[in-house]
Amino acid sequence: MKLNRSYNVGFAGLDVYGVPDHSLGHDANTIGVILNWRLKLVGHSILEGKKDHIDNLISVVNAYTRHCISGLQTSISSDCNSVSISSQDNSHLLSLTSSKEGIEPLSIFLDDAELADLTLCLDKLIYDSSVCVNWESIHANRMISKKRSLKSPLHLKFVHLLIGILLFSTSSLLYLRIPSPKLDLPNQAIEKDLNF
Amino acid sequence: MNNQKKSTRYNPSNNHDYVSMIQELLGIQTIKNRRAIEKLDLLLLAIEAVDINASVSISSLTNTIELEHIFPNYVEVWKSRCHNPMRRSSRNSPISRESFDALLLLLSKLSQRFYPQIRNLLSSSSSNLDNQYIWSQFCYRFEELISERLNSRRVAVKNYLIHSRDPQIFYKKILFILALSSGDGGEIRLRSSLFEPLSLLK
Repeated sequence: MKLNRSYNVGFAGLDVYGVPDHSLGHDANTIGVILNWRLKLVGHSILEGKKDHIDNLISVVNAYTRHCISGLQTSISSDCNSVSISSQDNSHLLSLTSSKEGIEPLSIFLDDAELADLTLCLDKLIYDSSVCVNWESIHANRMISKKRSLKSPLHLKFVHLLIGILLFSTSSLLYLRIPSPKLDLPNQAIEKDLNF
Repeated sequence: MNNQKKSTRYNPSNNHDYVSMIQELLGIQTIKNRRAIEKLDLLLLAIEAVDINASVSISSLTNTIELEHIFPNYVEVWKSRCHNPMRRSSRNSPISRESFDALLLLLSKLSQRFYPQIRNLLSSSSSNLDNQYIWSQFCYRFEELISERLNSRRVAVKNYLIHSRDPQIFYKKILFILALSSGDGGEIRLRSSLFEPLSLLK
């Protein structure tokens, strides 16, 4: 029996159709295999696809929002380039390429609120306990900070150390350049006094 | 058996505990910790600017999400937030892992509760007079809270106030972080981003 789950968050509405996977011991109300899905974005055409397509969409949107929340602007695309998202002039351009021939790629401009709606809608599906599907995208956690630190040039990592060494050596040299005060020996001082 | 061996060889949580224990003994905060608590407190200030009664919601939410053992009252929440070095009266000691996690969860739940208001402020399609008024009110309150609670002599705080002159960019980014912090996966997203510097938002 075909099961249906609906998730609605603001501008995004997602319908997922599937069946239980009895080989894994799922009960009659649990979706174990996704047959197809429909994503309704208000003001845009309805998107449809199979499990692989939504997996790609989830992985791309998740990775992109993780960059956005860290303040990094980047473009992310799926392995097969069927879904890609990038930032463009204070908005986000979501591009979807159909696997069928003769269908032109679809480009959707989303503002921040719409992207947040889409992310939360996809979150509802991922964290739904009645949908037991192995989402590959969740395991593909991107270590953004690690990636960013690896990308940063090597000289920037050591700039503070270099400045410290430079300041220390400069101050040491300046200290050495200061002439030491000439101390009069006691005998010389007495002689001076006598002469006076 | 092999698994047991592996767990004794490498356990990141244990490693983190040792580091945090040493930090607590020395009474110091690392740059990463300072950065995280600074960002967390600024986001909580933004929540307070979104809704004028947010402090009441914080108190009620701590009971709802079972955080009474960490935050039995609002004063404890405030004390944890005072670990932010940008505060007027800040505490130099590092924040405990437990309090930090609780603040993180609290922020995520608050974002979820105020998501409709945050979304309304973020939306570019809502540009009628009412929304413009709500936006200007938010900016005014946020600016007021920053100058009231944070030490305006600090360069970072001065920068927040400089950015408030062009609130469309900096404040919208703060609100976008809040929007993405809500929902089921919001806490994970927020946790992964907290150690990133705020300067990336500018």
